[in-house]
Amino acid sequence: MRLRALEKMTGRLKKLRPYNEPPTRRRRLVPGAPDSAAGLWFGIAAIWLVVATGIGLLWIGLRILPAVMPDTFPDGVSISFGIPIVNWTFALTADSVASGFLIAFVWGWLTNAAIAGIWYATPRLTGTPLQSDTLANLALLAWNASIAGGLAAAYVTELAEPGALTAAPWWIDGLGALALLIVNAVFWRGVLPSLRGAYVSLLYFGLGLLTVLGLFGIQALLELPFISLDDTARALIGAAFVRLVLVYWVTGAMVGALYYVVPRATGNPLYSSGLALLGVALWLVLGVGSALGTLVDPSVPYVITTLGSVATMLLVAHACVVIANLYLTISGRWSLLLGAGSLTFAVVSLAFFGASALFDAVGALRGVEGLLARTGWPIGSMLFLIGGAGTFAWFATADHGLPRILRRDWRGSPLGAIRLWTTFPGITLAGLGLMFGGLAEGSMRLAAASPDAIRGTVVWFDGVAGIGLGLAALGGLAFLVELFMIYTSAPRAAYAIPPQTSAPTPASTTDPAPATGS
Amino acid sequence: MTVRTPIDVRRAGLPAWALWLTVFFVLVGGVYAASNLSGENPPLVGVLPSASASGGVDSGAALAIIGQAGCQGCHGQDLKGTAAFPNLHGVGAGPKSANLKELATAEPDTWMNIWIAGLDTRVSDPAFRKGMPAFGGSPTNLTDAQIETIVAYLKTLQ
Repeated sequence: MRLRALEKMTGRLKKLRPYNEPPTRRRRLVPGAPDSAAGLWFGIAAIWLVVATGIGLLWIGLRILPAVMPDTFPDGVSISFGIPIVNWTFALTADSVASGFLIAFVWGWLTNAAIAGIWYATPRLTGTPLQSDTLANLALLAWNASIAGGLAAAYVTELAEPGALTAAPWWIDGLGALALLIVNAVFWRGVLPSLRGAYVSLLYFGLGLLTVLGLFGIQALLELPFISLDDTARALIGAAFVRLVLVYWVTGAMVGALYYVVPRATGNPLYSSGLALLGVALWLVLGVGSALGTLVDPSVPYVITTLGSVATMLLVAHACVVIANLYLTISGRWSLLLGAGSLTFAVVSLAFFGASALFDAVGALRGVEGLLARTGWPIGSMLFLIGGAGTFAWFATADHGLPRILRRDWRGSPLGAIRLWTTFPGITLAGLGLMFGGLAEGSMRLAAASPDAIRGTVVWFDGVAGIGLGLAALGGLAFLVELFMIYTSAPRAAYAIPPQTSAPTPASTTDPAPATGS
Repeated sequence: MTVRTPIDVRRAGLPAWALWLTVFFVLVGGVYAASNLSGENPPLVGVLPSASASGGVDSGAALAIIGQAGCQGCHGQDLKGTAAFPNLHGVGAGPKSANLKELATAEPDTWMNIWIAGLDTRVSDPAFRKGMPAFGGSPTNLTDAQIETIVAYLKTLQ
């Protein structure tokens, strides 16, 4: 009675902590625990994958609508309205949505996942803990604010810049460059002491990170208001920028991750370090040359562009070297491919990598590039690299790394199989649909077919691509759900689960324990 | 303490087949480069104004045909003319050359089609054409539909 009266007087009494329980640790505003950066970057990446595939579906829809309803949309779908106060114009067209799709996919999904993979693999290869998970998580905040701003700017006429991945003004790209500077600082601080004799993955990660930082910095500088460039120069720089990002960052980080995951998942040693270094050399030399191939303009000497096209074709050699080295590494462990585990994802990634290198080589042929310009081919071919090779490489890394990062006992689930069997056919259908639609469009243009006839034909290919992107979106959702389930419902594990091998493996190649900070 | 788990390597050297493969690729690339050393790059997409926003003209088709027919060889990469040949921007408002004024008055809607095809007796005389090829005839053989696509695009150039 007295207690109740006291409660009435003082409000609810605070529940006291029993004397034999330790005080709960206060959560920090920015997490800084070991592996927290890898986990958070992966989580945000998964959200971007769902957003990107959703935008991709919208883009395909905007391409299909004018053909299905020609009377309603004779000049294509265009929704625009003024934004009060700032006097900007919001414009939703097939072009602006395509730009948004690429931004969300490459900078949102692939880059977040790549940096997560780097945070996961690097400490385990060097033995040095990440210099600061807190800084890495602050970079996550800055990077994603920049990408969200870039995505929004793609739909604002006054802010959008020309170029597939550069639709942002300097202050947005500047924030992105700052985030990448932090990421580079954290990475190199841990890697520099053990750079001598570093494993090949670290070379790919490091060079990729430096390139993307340099490109973002240059891009931000070029967009400063007092720097004036004519339209041709901007278009040429934009084309070279996209190529360099795809070769050095998207491909580099992806190959680095595959070189990490395949030996780990099989328990086999890497087949050849000499072959790996030959691949790095080819990638470094041919990547620069490949960017020259995008400078297709009368102001650039023809021979320079031809040499660039040849470099793009020769990048097939880099793909061959990487694929051969990793397939020979898997040798003897093929039975591991029967499930939907990290090795299966890695092998699918390698298959897409080979196909995208071949399609790029075909697209770089002199007669072909003119035929396919401004058709669906370039994006379809790019989809094989970013949506196929890139996505599956990061699926493989996530599958291998997330149980160790989150310290959960997660031995696969039907969601992994759903992810494999929706994303694999999805990206294949979407890429092939866009590429063959591009071929049909280019051929019909040369034959001077009417725009209506071209639309009527291309719409079927776009329909196939739409189905494909829909399937890929389901795969993205499955990934997000699986990540959530690992975190919430998988039992905690003091040590990460051993790699999924059925035979004894060399102890030094496997990755039995997560990095534990002290 | 962080656990370091290095990845072992089966062999340090470079397999011979990899060297041969690289040499093969370089040779193929060299042959391709040697056979494509001369020529001129087409204008970068976006330098010529896109007509996609103006009346639904298929600028992609027009640019492909213009590139194939070689119009830019005389009229310049941006179709703004050269010392000897006229600027095609603004040609939708009327002909730039004095010899075409009469044709444009007689055929205000189709004078450009007739002029580009060059098969009509009113415009087929080489002295009258002043070096402009008859694109409706050999060797270019543009069809009426192709010429109409070019004309629709030229009318959008300001």
